[in-house]
Amino acid sequence: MGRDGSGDRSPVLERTREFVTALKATPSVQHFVAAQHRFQTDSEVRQIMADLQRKADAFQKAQQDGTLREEQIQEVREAQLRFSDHPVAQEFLQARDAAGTFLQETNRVISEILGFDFGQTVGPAGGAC
Amino acid sequence: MSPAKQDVLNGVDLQEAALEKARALARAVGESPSFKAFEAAQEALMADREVNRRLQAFQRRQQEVRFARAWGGGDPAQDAALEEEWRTLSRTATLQAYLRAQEQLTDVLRVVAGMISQEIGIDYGAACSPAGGCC
Repeated sequence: MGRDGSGDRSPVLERTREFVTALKATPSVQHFVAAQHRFQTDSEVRQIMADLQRKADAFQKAQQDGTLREEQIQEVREAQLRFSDHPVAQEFLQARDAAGTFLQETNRVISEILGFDFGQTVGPAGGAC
Repeated sequence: MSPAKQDVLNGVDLQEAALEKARALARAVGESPSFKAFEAAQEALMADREVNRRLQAFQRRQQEVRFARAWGGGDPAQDAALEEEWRTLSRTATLQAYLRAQEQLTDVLRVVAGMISQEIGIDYGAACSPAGGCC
């Protein structure tokens, strides 16, 4: 038994690396990685996102100061639309969803063997709520 | 066979290969010292009738207090009593051992998930938690 629970992790880490390699070879993950790269490097998308961020910040500040104008709401909406209508952003979001769906399938087979939900155990909430 | 059809078939094979690697990973976790220690601690906890009875009573009380709070009937004294009960409970040897084993196993699982997330660029835990996040 592990002295402090660290035990011998190396077989687990070895299997993790093999799993990651196999994951990276699947079409859904490959598509996601490519779409993410386009999304992160497309100058138009970067500009749209910076603009959206700026307008959202101004919106929030105006809301706190009580100086929010109708045009400002409209501006944020338009910036959001420019983002969500952009093909590179759309492709990225769709690819992320598809990869996420496959990751869920891997989680299902892992959890079946472990006898508890692996993803939930390591998830952001950690069962706190 | 058309190239497109061949691609789809390869894709299916690659997915199946990844699922097989996922199973191998889960089996390796199942054979790890942390998992075995967790299982042993869980069995010991389930065999401890007294702690189980108190644990169930605690969980019932916890639910009642939670309901009361949700309906606007929160009582700080009840919260404090519940906290005190948990402190006493968690000092019992079997529960303490169980919680420690659970934490150590969770540590290993977090390392595994962290490696996957970092390599893929998607937060594995967030992608696989129900509703994708808290509440």
